[in-house]
Amino acid sequence: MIATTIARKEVLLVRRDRRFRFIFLALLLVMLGAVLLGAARTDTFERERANALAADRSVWLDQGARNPHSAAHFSRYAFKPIPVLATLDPGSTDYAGLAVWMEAHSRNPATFRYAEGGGALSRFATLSPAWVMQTLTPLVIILLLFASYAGEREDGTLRQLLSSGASVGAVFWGKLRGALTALGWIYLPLAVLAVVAVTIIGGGAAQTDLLLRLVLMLLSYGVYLFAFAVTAMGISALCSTRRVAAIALFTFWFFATVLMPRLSADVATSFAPQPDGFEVSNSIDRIGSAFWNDETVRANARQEALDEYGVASADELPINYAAYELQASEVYGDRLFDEEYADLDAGHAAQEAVVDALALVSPTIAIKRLSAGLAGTDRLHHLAFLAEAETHRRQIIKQMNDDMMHNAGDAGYSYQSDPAFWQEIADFSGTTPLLRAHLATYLWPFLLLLLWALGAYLFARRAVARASNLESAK
Amino acid sequence: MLEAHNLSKTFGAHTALKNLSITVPAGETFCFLGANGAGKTTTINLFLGFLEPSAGDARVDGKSVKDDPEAARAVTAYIPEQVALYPELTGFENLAFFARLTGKEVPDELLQASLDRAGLLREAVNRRAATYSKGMRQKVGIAIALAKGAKALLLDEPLSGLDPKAANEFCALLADMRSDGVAILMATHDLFRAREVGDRLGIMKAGELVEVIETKSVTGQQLEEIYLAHMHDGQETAA
Repeated sequence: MIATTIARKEVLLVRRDRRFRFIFLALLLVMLGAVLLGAARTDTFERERANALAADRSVWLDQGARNPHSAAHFSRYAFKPIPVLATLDPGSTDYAGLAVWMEAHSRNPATFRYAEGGGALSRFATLSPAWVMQTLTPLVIILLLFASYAGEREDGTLRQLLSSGASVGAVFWGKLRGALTALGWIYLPLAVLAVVAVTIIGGGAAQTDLLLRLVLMLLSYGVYLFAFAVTAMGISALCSTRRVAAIALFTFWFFATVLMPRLSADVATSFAPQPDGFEVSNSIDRIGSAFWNDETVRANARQEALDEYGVASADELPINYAAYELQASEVYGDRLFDEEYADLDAGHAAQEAVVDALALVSPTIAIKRLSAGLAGTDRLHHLAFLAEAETHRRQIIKQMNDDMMHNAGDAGYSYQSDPAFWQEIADFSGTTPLLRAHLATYLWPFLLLLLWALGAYLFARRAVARASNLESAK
Repeated sequence: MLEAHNLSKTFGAHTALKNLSITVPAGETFCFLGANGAGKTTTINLFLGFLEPSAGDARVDGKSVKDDPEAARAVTAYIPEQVALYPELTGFENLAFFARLTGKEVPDELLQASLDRAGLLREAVNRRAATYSKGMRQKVGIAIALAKGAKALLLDEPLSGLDPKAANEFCALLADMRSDGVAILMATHDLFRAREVGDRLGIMKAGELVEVIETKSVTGQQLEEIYLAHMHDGQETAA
């Protein structure tokens, strides 16, 4: 009853304050702009992907009669599908590369990074709904709550309030409920806006995986904003004046949402340095030619072919040996590529572990990891695309090597496949991995967020009890 | 009823209040007189549970402030020098908020009646408190005490800064509440007003209650002489 009375008063005070009406409206408009921008970006990506896929397919099918190995070098592209939730959180989409050239002898990294070619306009496009929720909304919460206790203490109403018979617990719960109600006014319209946008872009398809991702995303942001709300209340309770509380909370906001996320990437790079693009490119070239530069490996492959077909010399083989050797070089290279990319992935995972650890000092780091993961725009989803593209590359290169092996005869590299053969080479159609299979990956950042929320709650409770100890509330 | 039994408060080496024992029964007004730092406000803070006593006990209506501060505060009203109200809320909303903090459902009719009795003009009731004068704020403070049915009223320099008319009105309200059976403890510098509203006067000096006077037994002139004698006592000894 007392907590309800206090909560009602808190809500009434917020409603009466015209500044908050303006701030809420401004936040809603920024969110609307971010959603529209995100939707336009996702739509652009998808259109460009569809156009590129059609062009790639057209060029591939129209290449005419050609040697299959020559075609394997000419080859095709795997274009990365952009998940619907990239509208809300583009994650690493701009930086991770959107296409893989599926070439023979070479497991190429993803290219066509949007950030490289976007220019000044693409930098503006980083205004995303995720940024609004991760950076801007906590700032609004701070504006809303910095005077929560400090203002009452400064005006003398805290003393009046506590002398009226309200317990410390009732004051805390009342203020928390008031803060959560105001937070609901901010959060619910933003969440509804996000859900509507995703539903429209997703074509109304209520896929289970998409819904699960969306629900967990909204839940995670709810926990994140709750952590900020109670932290703001706690810090306000410890400060003697509004001014001190505002300075303390803006410092916390800058540290948590701006400084630490940027610093964490630099710290991770320092702790777990990775080879640059030039070094990676050199490694790919070296692996691509490893089979051809090692006479022992080539001799072993030849012997395996002779043993497999039970003949004494390559001339007696019922297949085209050059094509057999091409496929053997692929199999040999695949193992080396797997090792090379495993090392690279381990390095990136080490960097991520550093970033995860730094989430202990900033909830924004945790929500960034979680949000991008749930949106399907993080490293794990990019790796899944690369793995799928690599499986497809191996499959189509084998198809072409097999064609030459069984149909070229003595013609070897002069053999040309029938143009109809190109239609047998399937387009790459990537899929977004199901979240259920990777939930464990996101457990840590989610637990960190919960830990932040719990820690902030306990801190606020303690700070409010201290503020309500009237020796300090005079 | 307000009771203090050997109530003491020390801050480090400084003794702010030393062995205070007083009883203010229902329907009596007791005024503390004394210079700054005499221990008047400390006593009020101890009755409110704003400070923990170093020794002794303070009770309001039989409830120990130390053991059950919320129960004691539920029957206590407090009016400081400047009654703190939420400037964005109206006088009525402020009253409703503070009166309902005891957990009791206080009907709007009782709230309005309290404001009427406290003398706040009807036209001011629904105005935001930001526009209120000090006198109007004090009236809301009295209305809070009336609406919550306080059995004890603690006042800390409530008359300071009030114009004579407002001070007169305020004193009349205090007399009204006293006749309702409220135990009133007021800290003040104003000897004239203390004599006007108080049944007994306590002179405090350096944390000690040095003399208690029945108001009816002294004239204003005598009270002033007694007071000044106590204030100069230590200085003459030192000289």
